[in-house]
Amino acid sequence: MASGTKGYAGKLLRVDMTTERVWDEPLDEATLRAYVGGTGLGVKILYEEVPPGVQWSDPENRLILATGPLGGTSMGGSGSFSVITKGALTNGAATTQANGFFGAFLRFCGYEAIVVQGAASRWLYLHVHEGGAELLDASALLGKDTWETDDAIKAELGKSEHGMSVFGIGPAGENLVRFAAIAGDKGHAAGHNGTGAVMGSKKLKAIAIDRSRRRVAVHDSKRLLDVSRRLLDSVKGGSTPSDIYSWGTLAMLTRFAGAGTLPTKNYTTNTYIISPEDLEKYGAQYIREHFEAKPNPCWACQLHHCHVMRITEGPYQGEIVEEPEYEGFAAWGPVTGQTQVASTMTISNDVERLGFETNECSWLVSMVMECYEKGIINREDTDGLEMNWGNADATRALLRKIAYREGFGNTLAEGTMRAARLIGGEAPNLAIHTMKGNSPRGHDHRLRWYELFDTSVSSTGTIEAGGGGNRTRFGLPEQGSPFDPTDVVATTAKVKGSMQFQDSLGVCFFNTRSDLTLLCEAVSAATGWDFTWDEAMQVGRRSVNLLKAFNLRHGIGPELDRPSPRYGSTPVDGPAQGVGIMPHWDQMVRDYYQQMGWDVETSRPLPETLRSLGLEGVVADLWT
Amino acid sequence: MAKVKLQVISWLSRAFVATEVNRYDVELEVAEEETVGALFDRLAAENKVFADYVFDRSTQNLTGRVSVFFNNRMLELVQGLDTEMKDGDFILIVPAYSGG
Ligand code: SF4
Repeated sequence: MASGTKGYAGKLLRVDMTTERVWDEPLDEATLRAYVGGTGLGVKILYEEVPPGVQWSDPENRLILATGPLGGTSMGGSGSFSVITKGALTNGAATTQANGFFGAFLRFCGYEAIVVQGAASRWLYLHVHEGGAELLDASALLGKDTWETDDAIKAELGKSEHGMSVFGIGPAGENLVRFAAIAGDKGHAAGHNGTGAVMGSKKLKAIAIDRSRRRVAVHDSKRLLDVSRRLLDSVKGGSTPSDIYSWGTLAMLTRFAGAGTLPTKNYTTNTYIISPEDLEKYGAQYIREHFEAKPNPCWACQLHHCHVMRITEGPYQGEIVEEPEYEGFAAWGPVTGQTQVASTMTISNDVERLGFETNECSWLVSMVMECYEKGIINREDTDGLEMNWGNADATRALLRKIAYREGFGNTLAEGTMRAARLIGGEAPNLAIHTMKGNSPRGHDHRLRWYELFDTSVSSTGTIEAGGGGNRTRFGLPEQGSPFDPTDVVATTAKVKGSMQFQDSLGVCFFNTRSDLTLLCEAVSAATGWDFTWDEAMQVGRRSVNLLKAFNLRHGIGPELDRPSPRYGSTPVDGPAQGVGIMPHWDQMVRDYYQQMGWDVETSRPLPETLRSLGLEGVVADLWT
Repeated sequence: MAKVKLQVISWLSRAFVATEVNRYDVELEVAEEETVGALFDRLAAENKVFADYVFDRSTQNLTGRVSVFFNNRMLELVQGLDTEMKDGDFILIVPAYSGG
């Protein structure tokens, strides 16, 4: 135990699938202070325990699920956690977050993190409770989707709906689909970069955590409550009006449709052709009023964000679904040429239950649809499915084939980049992904170069430089210039680290999207440390540099810091028609490396950069 | 004098009408060749919410919380705040997103 470190449970749970053993390991205060928890802690463990040469599906890979010092506290949305591993899409580092209850329940049971290693010879699930944990037989769960798995485990262990948190894999993860997610708490997923495939490779079907009555001890609970109130105020309105408080991310789709910035039909256009009546149905008010929405908030969350709904119209009437995020609406709306909101919501729910990561899945399906439209593939290739834009029935059937790796689905299960190469012909020129092999989020990043650049140079398979609050705090002008290469590079380089710090705390991003200063105050209140903005950025930057070093040692070099041809293409219409990033790319990447304190040719973090972060050991790994 | 159309989407519409999340359309009179920046400065002087969320009078710049479109093109890709307006122009203001 890290005795005396208030705000921490002080230990992690180690799970060896090969020997089917579990045990506790202490975490010392120095480690916690340097890495805090969540993403920071996970990245440290990944770097130290997964040496070069280990592939994502090898038993030696680690699957780390970690919360942080605010997990399970009075902070809003404090059920969140991070998953860190060597991911299946890039065969490099992966860090991704999920919200829900899991992180809070893990801490109530006395753990900061779970580290899974080895691979079992039979399917198992992990049950965590106040008294420890054990691995149990999961053969009866095989083939079940993520919601069914959740229900079945609770039934087997005699738990009520909210008496336990279950995160696991669906058929996609069981069948090692490269973009399988780890999904749970009905509506949440830690999905990017194939975390579910890693879990499947270890034959771990799910992790179920009891809701213990115990609570985490914090240093100064009054102060923490005060900070959490101020954070809620800043998100909710008061000084910063935001749709998130009232509508979650629902309001975004209709907002962007009017501006012509939605990601549409695999980036072939920026014009989302939809009638005003149908578009209105994608609006927050219509959805909340017409689909029998019931709030389904995460642990301690006061934002009006997550809901469970019943589809009340169209061919899928009667189905119960989780209200999609903006990402789900974009993915199964404009990206795939869908204009019926009920179909969008139903497909989005299928994706979660089968256990896919939404973004990658939709760029894959949209690539298939474009290939089908252009005659690069035909009905024979798709096993008879008519993959026209917006065909919901065909999409649903295709998703099943992918999850079970049947026929054409087996090719697609490799993810967008690899599937395009297997299809051949023009397909690789249409596919949207980075050259590392992951796909972007659900925006048209060609209209905002920050995200396009960040996603392409990131080490984790998703964006790394978001959040952090006011730009001026990072020494940037208040107003950014999304088409100015200099500003894009400076923003990416300067902000990097703030997101990694936020993801180390165990709290949902929507609840923390404010100034880091308030979050530092929260960490101080929870732990008794005197945590500053500078220290927070150091923590985040430590992760960023470890992630980069990890990837370099695992063979992912600067040549892969690029978008695919379509991802980096010039929009043919819309509000940025004719303006492309690629003429600037090589110079931007060099400038970025330089501003990060990395070697401009090889992207290796320079010894002085590493030393300034206390990463002496990494200097030897990279430079000798 | 020229007339331009201004459309404001989402929570920002509350700056103009005290109703729920929605959109707001208005036609505004502007001087021939007046710049977008000059118009925004005028609007910010009259309307505190506009000043807080769209245009910062002290820096004479946008706040970073919105995306602005001019005749369906991103304002940055026209002449930015120096863009001159003429009769029939259309300005759209949308809250910006960050991340993702
Ligand atoms: S904002 Fe949404 S995802 Fe975040 S904690 Fe609240 S309900 Fe959960």
